[in-house]
Amino acid sequence: MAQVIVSKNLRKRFGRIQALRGISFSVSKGSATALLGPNGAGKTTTMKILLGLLKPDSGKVEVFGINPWENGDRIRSIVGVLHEKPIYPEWVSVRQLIRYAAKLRGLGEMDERRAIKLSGLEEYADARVSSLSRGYLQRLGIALAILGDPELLLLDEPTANLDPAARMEILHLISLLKEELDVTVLISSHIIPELEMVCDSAVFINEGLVLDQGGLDELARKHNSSAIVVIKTRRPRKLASMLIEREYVKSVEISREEVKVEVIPGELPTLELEISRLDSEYGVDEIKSTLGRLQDLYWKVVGVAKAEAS
Amino acid sequence: MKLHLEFVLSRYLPLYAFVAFLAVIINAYLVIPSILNQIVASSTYSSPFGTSGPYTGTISISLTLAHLIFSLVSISLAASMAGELRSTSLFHLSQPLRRIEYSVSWLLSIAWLPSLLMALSLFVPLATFDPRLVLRVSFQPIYLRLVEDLLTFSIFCWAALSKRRGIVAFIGLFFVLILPYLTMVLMSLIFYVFYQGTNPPTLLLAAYEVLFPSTASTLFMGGIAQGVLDPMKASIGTLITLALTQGTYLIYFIRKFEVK
Repeated sequence: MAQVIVSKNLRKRFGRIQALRGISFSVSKGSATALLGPNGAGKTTTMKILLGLLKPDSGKVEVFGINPWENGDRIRSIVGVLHEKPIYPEWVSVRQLIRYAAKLRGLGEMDERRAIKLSGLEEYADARVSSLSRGYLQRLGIALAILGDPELLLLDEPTANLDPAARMEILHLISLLKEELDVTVLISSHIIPELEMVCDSAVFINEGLVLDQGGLDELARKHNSSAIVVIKTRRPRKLASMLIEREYVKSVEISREEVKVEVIPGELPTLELEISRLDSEYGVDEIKSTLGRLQDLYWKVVGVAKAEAS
Repeated sequence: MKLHLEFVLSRYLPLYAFVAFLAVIINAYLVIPSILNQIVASSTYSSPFGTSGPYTGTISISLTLAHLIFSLVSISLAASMAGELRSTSLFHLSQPLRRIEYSVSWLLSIAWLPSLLMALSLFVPLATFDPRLVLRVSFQPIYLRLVEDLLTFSIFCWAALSKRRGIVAFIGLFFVLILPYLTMVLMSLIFYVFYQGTNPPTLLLAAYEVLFPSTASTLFMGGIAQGVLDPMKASIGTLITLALTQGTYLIYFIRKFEVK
């Protein structure tokens, strides 16, 4: 598969702080990749280098085969970005700001209206940016990022400051863009279960180094990571005895009307498929992943690295 | 460049318009009598097509006032740029906007527009005169003020790269109110203390005339010191320094400036 982002041995220092110590990773076209790591791992620095806002000290980076520092404007015309802590000009209205960004991309009013609609900003389109709440500022960031159907979305904490309903809307929007428009997404967030909803691969970084990367299934197998699913059912014992016989199930626990199932790496979709098939027979009311693959992987990859370092 | 410049100007247009209007009113009050005096003087002393008159007193006051007003505009714009580089530049430079477009639009807003508006505010009152009479007036003082301000205001662009409004305000006020006069005082001290008033520091004087051609010509004309360069020749040095200042600012912004 074609690589949209290629980073090789990328280094960046800010004074005494070595933010990146030789980051190497790649992102395939059409994928949704989670960029995961603790605070100060180098996620935001990496995103800014990919946009051509920061110049790497050494190493090689290419986005769509273009060097971001040399030809940043070419990259930014096909990349939508949402920064972690964006600050927008406050003296203009939402519509004026989106119109300005649309014009810079050579887009017209249609695109401007579509971005406002998709991000749920219709009600506030004529409000001043200074009057927006944090949640609506985040929506404004999303509107600016999706202007003109970008080929790559760089999203740094896209659901920060949003209420649960708005979070789900934004995640749904990202999934929609990825599926329908074949947009490649690189997304960084601290809310790992949310990332699992949209991402199919991950890059784990810590202290400016890539610890591991790859497809989620591949990583789950490699790190022997399992997913834990809680199923609320009216017949917990019957469901548990059925599931324990399945090859993909590691263990089953029953508590009141809940069955806690540990699934072996990469088999979560199989369980979900089987449960949906047997839904009526076992009276399943709710399924929720308490500890998803990605979260488990995060602790296995980043947690172990941090523990070793300390 | 047009789009970002429009965006910047849409915010500061009321300020430009108000200051330009104010300057035109002040200049009309001061320049018209001055020009009339120059016209009368040039008709009396020189040929019908002579371009200089001996009377420049009021136009100097008018120029100084316009210079002060537009210096404040330029400092305020440079402070805004410094503030933007700390905050909303992340938004602007994350768009498909070339660094050259971004930096040039600020250069135009901070240096070129205030300088040209200053010059224009002096020319507007002249529109009330017969063009044949206006052609007899010397435009040298306006030209010298224009190139000096262009250079000074371009230095404010450099100051804005510090991303600190306080630094911009300090450098701005220092360059406008203190440095041109402080340098002159220091040079006088050097002249009398180290050379006992015999050997004028020609290199320092020439450098002063290049950096502050308008201030130097006003001071030297007032007999405060003796210039070593013809003001027009000095202004060539000013233009070269101006090109270097603006060129290095643009090169730095394009090749080195990072949005942290």
